Amino acid sequence: MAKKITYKIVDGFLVIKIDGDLDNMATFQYKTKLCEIIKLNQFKQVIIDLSNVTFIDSSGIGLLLGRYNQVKQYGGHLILCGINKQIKKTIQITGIASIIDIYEDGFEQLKKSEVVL
Amino acid sequence: MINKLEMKISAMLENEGVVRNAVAAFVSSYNPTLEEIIDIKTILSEAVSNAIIHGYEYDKNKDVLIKATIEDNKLELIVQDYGKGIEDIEEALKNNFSTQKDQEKTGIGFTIMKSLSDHFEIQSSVNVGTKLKITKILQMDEVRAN
Ligand SMILES: Nc1ncnc2c1ncn2[C@@H]1O[C@H](COP(=O)(O)OP(=O)(O)OP(=O)(O)O)[C@@H](O)[C@H]1O
Ligand SMILES: [Mg+2]
Repeated sequence: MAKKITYKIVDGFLVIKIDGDLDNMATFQYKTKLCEIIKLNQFKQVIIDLSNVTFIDSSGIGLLLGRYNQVKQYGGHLILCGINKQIKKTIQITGIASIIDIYEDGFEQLKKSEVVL
Repeated sequence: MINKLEMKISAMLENEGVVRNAVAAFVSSYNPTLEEIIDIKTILSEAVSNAIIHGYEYDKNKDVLIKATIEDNKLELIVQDYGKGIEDIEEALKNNFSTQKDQEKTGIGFTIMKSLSDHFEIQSSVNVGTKLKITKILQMDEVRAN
């Protein structure tokens, strides 16, 4: 899967979608762009959808934690969704679920199931 | 029978993906589970990126050595650099310890490597380098054993 990030605004949520391997290289490439998207919009609710992430390591975890802190700083709330089986174990080991709200379903699924976010 | 793969890469993050995918391909003929493949890729990503980032501080002229050896169902990975070395290994191995917290490093690389492997060994000396030896036992299904 090609590496990319896209974002859209749905019902007042800023929804960011990451595709591909979230390794050191990708983290390096995405960090500035991600920071800008978040800073520019300053949405109260930010969702990062990881459904299409094919690999994650500590650098990717660091990137997500960094954005969580960034959003928290202006009083917003960031959640992660789309925890697929390729990234689930690493997410679990690192214990970030104790800091960030995490949903297994991707954003489309979450919207359908009308989970209150 | 012993089967092995050795690589020497320039210390560039671009090469990290090359290493993890090459070793994954090397191991794939042993019918590993998807989980095992992901574990191996993650371990390598952590080890190689540490060598590049901390060992060599992104000096592209330096080399990182990677060796993968399979014997029966035992995979041994060696990742070695001749860089900066680690001053206090015990401290470095602690969860959440990083000398680069300002770079959004969370200090979980070693925690990840240890929890995904069956055996983890580290040798490091300041200004000599760091060598990791990591063992992963692959599950062997009936078909493979024959
Ligand atoms: N090959 C190496 N050479 C020199 N120092 C190293 C090496 N590997 C690790 N270290 C030191 O050990 C510390 C902990 O490593 P670890 O991988 O756990 O965390 P990190 O790389 O700092 O952050 P993260 O892996 O979470 O992005 C590093 O901050 C670094 O100081
Ligand atoms: Mg690391």
